[in-house]
Amino acid sequence: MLFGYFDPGSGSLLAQMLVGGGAGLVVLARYVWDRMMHRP
Amino acid sequence: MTMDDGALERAAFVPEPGSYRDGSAQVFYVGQRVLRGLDKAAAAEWEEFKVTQFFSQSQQDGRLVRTRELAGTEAGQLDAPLQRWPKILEHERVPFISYPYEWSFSMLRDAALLHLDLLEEALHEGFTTKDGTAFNVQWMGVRPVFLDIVSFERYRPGAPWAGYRQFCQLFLFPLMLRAYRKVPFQPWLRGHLDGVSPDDFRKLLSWRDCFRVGVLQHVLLHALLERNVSETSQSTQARLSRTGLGKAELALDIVRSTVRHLRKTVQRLKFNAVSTSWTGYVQDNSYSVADRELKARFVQSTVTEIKPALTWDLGCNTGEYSRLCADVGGYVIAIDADVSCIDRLYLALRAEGRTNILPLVGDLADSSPNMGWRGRERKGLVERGRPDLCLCLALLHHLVISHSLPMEEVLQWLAELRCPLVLEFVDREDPLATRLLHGRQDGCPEYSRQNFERGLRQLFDIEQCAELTDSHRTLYRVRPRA
Repeated sequence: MLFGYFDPGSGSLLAQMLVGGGAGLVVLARYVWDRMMHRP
Repeated sequence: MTMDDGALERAAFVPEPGSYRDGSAQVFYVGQRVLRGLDKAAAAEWEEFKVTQFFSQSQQDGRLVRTRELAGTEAGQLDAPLQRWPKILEHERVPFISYPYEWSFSMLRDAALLHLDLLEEALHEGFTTKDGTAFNVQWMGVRPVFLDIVSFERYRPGAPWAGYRQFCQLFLFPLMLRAYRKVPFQPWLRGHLDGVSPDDFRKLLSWRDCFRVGVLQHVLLHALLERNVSETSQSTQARLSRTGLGKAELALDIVRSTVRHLRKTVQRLKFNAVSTSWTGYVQDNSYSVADRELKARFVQSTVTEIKPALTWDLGCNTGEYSRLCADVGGYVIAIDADVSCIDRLYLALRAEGRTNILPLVGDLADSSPNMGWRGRERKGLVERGRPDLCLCLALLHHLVISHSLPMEEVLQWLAELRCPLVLEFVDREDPLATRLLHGRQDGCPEYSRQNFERGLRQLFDIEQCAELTDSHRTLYRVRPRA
């Protein structure tokens, strides 16, 4: 995925999951889990 | 507004200096006309966008700037540097460009709601906006218009809204700053063209504010995530796709919910106008009924004779004389330093359905400068278009006495506008002037009618003069010497 002419910010992409209803929270939880499992 | 189907005049093209961020398009001016060149990718997006119901509907209701595509023959008449764009659009010209740091709270709020409404409707037809900046919105009087057509692009399945951060920084946080902290947002937006960052805004809030609508999600957790997620946006997007966002419908639902949540939050933000010395000015001033009528006649006869296309009403307060000018015709920029006055004026004009008065927050002692990249991205007041007539009614004493501006320099600045002026001089004996003079230890000796008239005669021809007999005030109609 390529973004436009500016960086939308990682934190801002994730913050949308918080206001994106139940589905957003599930995605965010799975994101956190994925990061913990694939820590560099 | 010029959007004729006729041939383009052979005028020099001038690129808009502020139109450089999105490399897929460029705005430029040819004479009075506003054109936008699109590259191949943007032209392909436009081809799909222009046939949507959303586009035709928002063109009809005027929420999206009126736009037409230049036919091949018309585009062929343009100068060679413009021929590199595969597609060229022409937009309706906005009478006067303004910036979010010159808008009142209700103006920024209405612009934010317009942005969200358009985004939500576009999403229904598979389009999104690639950004969320307040600079995409301009005004036709008190009607907000979304200008950036190329901001609309086909929604890519699985993508969050890229403009969310910009929207928060340039719309939501400034509105919250005013609504929750009672701090005017205008200096903050003028101080940083990208707006207020989530982490900076978090630091401005009190613990009580943490329980207010939208703060937890849009500010606190937003800032927390920004501070703690160090990976790139591309990596975050890729990981989100793996963890469920890759499902197109799910991602779209999340974007829609975000937009709905933002709208609900913005709608609940209130201005809580404070009473200032200016909001009660009309009741408190020293005019008799006869003087008010004389002043109105003086202004009206000037406007009727000059027929200005653009009038500036400096220190407009309730906009009484802006309305008078607008009734005769032309477009009026009503400027006042008091944010409460301008907010009230905006709401009143919106209720009246006026389309030819634009209220703006502006302090002449500290007016909007040229700023941004190379000092050209956002322009100062004068650089955006000189007026054909300028009203400067009962303002000079505030500039000279309260702001300690040298009277000669104020008159010099007014002369540099190169247009006729209606000036009102308030004598030292006037009760309001006396009150201001009490605040000056030196008594401001340069502020006298004698000095004023001497300075005036050096720079202007006095065409008409009228004394307001009951209130120690004199009106002058002057024209700067060539």
